[in-house]
Amino acid sequence: MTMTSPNIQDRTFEVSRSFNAPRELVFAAFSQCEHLKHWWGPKDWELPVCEMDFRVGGSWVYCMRGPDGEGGIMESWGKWVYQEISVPEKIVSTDNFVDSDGNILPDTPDMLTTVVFEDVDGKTLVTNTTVFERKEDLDMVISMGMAEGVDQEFDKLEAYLEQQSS
Amino acid sequence: MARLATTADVFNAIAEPQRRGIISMLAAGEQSVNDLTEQLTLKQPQVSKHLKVLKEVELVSVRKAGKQRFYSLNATKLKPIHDWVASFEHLWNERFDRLETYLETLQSESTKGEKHDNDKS
Repeated sequence: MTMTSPNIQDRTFEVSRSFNAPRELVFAAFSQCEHLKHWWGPKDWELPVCEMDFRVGGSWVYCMRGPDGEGGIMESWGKWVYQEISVPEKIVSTDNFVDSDGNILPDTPDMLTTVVFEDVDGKTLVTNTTVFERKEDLDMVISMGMAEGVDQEFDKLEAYLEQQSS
Repeated sequence: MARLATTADVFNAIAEPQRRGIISMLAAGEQSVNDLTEQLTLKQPQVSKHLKVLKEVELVSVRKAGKQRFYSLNATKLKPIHDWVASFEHLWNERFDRLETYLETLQSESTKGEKHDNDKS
């Protein structure tokens, strides 16, 4: 068992990947809606809403929409407020779950996301670091993950009860 | 009566680096307090203190054999944390996969464009 990837005591999660593209282009892919709509969502998700004011103090509101699945269409709205921008090296911003009006959803975590772009061996290394502002926030995200599991359990129970009563 | 351990408690328990060290060692199998003390550069009372915390949140269980106490790991208690970390990594890996493909497409398009421009000249 390894527990090395997240730095749990610092409430920090880090992921990185090296891209075979110039740093300016990779930076643009993170800072322009015309690029982001092609890749920001998870696999098979779209980005139907992307409103960005790319400057310090400006914000980016986006909506990720999942494919039409069993549970209907899933949407997830996010909002970044840029704290620091250094072209083409670094973007620091607050990161929140919001509603469709851009209001922060209550009982969701405050995150601080830093994306760093580095030239390494002719490629661009992108490192994303997400820090949960308060430890309770991370606990909450973990419990959100657990709630999902609980839902699945309830689904099974429901199916079981239907079967029993038929 | 013992209070039920919450995810937050488990989280606190594994936030301490020495305790994560103990967990990693127990992941390999059951160990006595002496074994743990020898492998970690800690004194036995410290090891016992950490083990007590881990036992309170049910991350470890203890078996007595004579004067020895053997500790083993309850890995299921780590699952919620593991799941969250996995989903975070999963989302970013998917994003990065899509970005990789997108950047390739962009660059092959611009190369084609350049070739096209060259053809014209």
